[in-house]
Amino acid sequence: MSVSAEQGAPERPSKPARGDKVPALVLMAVAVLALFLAPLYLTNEYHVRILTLVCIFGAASVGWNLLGGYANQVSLGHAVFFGIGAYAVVIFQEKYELSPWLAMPAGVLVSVLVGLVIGWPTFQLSGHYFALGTLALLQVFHIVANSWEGLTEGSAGISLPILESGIWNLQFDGPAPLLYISAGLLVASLAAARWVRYSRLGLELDAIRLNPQAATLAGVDLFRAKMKAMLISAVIVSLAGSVYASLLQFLDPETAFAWNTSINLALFAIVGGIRHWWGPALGALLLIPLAEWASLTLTGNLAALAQLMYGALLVLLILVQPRGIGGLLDKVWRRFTVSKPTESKPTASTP
Amino acid sequence: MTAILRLESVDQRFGGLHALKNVSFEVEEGEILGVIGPNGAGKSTLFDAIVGVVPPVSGHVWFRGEDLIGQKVHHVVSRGVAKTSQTVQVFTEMTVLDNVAVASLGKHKRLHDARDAARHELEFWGLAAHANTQAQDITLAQRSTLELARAVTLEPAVLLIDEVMAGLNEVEVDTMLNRLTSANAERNITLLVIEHNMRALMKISHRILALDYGEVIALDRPETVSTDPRVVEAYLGVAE
Amino acid sequence: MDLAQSVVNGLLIGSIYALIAVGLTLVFGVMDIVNFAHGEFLMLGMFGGYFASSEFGIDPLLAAPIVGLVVFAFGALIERTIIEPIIKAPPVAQVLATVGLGLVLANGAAALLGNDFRSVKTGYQGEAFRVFGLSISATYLYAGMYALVVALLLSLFLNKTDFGKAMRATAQNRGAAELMGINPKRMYMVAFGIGVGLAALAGSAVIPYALVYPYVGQQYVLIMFTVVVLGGLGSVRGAILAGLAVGLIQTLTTLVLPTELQNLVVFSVFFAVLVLIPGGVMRRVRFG
Repeated sequence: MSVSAEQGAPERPSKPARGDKVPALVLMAVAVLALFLAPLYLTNEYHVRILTLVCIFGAASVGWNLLGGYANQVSLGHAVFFGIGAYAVVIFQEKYELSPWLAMPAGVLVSVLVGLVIGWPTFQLSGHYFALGTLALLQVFHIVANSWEGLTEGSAGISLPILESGIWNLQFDGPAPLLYISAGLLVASLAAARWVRYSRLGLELDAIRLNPQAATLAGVDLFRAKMKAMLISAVIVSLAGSVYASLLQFLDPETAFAWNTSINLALFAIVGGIRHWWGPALGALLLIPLAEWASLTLTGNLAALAQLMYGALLVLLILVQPRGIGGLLDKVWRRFTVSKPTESKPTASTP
Repeated sequence: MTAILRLESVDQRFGGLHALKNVSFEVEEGEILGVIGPNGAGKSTLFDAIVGVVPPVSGHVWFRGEDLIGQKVHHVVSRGVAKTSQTVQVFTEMTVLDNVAVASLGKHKRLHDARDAARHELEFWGLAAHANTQAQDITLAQRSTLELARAVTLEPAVLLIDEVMAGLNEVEVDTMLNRLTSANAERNITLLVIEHNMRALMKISHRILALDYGEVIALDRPETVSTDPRVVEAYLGVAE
Repeated sequence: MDLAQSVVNGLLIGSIYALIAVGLTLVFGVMDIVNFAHGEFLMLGMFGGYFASSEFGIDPLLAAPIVGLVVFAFGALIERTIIEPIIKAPPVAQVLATVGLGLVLANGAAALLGNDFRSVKTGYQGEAFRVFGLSISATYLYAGMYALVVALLLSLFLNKTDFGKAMRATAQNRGAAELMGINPKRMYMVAFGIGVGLAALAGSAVIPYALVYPYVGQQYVLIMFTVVVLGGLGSVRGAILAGLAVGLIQTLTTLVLPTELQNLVVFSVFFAVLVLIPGGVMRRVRFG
């Protein structure tokens, strides 16, 4: 987002004025601080757990948004990276007694490879093919996870054994350490998203989002740019999945490669604002506690109601406020800081 | 004068429509080649074929010893053949500066430098005052110029310009003509210009290429082409 | 004879896939929208057939056209309210809006009807025809014949009627169609209605041999999108051929691999198509 200058703009250096940079950073810093202090004043373990989920899925959604919001490439299969990261941890820890910290890079590596494989054919085609390809990919991983019992124990799932508490095993007596770790992940992913936003890559992705054909005429290598975003995204989401597995201490194909996960990543981004690096995190912060509350109060047939409301929310947002809360904040911000220059329509003498 | 661009039997079809029929011609280095023809003659289609936006069914486009056919658009563009579009294509929600900066990314590693180069370019085209305005907030004529500025930033050897003067008044047209001539002479850019404004085109072109129904019907100096009976017939019906 | 049997079954099953996919590809061809809720309309059709049978004693195959019509009307309504606004929207918006719609439909059904798996009982289930030594299940055969008839009717509609031709025109070039006096909004409504109506019709035809539950749409998603991509997004003829092909792939793979893996093979084909033939097989064939 940039601030329109008035006629006869002062000579700024080559960076366009970005009025929204500072407030966003400040708010983020405050939020992160609150997160780290949370376990001190949140005595209810359940609440700490919810915050941990917010961090995990917030990070994943931020990662998703690098493709979805920045470049308009909707991935419906990001749960694949999530599941890969998760399975890496449980397989490493349960079968080979290796620390999750070793599993995470392995998960990332596999995710990156998968990202390359899915991106290579689909990025060269129109956007619809990407959505379809990622959707199919998710289905396939689901099937494979169910069938490859030697690796994943199939639909029965893998439970992690109770090991010595400590950071090496990522098993603890209380919920706080995992909150810190997931908060750290969230911060890292936010930093990455912000960096991309204001980098060369961010400019290219924006061009791709706004007008792919013009971008290509401007010399942008669409495939390369999208692939870079995809790979960064895959790394973030994979790590989030890994932390999730450590939180649950259990994993099965349903949980790892859930259609709901894919939807949630997109939903959080839409609600919070897909045009902002912090948008998805905001969405996660608002919706996850809501979802938890819903799953407690709505049971039986009514459980479906929660999902239904998600769906309805998604549709309504798209129709009414596709930029989400971030978009609303943009409008407010512009109202307060910008006077749209009516003199920018030139006369014939404008050189 | 050497040929910088050489088209060889370029053929284009869309289903049953034979849009370009065996088009062959050479573009001389450093020239301004005006491209004329009635609506539907295939002018924009020709540009699309050269750059690869819509690759032709057959034929070759030779540029610096390479055949451009089959190459990705962004390759062609960074190799040195750039193009603007008939319907103005800018990045609406980006600033004017960034619109151009996107194109300078190829030549500048750092975003900072790319933006500096872009600012420079904007000055040449008279858009520097609007650098921080969003592209959707400037006039259509300005957006047209912006698209041109973006293409020029790529430092192309050949630039295909598709109707950049639509909507400009007399004074603006003259300014644009000056800029185009300057780009051609001082910055060594060979220009191919599609334009309906005949007066303007005849003024600056070294040669004129006339198309009709996908075929080349004339390629010569402006005075000759404007009196060529085939050209007259294409525009006006049977020559008197 | 196993091979021949598989081929026949594959073609019959495939014809239903074709029917489902035709609706999806039609919507894409005319409106440039991939409807991710398409499976949910199939589910509605299946429930329609189920209730026709369990509540009214009407055979689902007989009820199918009515079910199709009802869903056609519903689809037109959805198009007016939800789809129309997003036709010009960026892919993010289109994909997520239809995904959201699917969620609403599936979960709405779940909330109202519960999660149970249901199936119908018809007189001819378990019957089979003996033809040339092959055993053809009655339910498959009827469904297959149904699909054939509907495909023919659709073909007639698109090629011989004015409305159908107008729809094809809109698919090819909306602007030009508008200039010819065709009302694109009406086209879209009808196209979408037909698209999802076909899915519902297929659902009702399929319920004699399939189970229905609110989330069954998800089961068919991979299949239907594979068919559509294989046949080329927007090509009706391609969808039909590809549907048959996918049915064959499924049944033939079960000859050599365990049933759970049949979809894995389908997916591999899907991927191979994506990589090798952008735009699907039909695209190559059509434009050379």
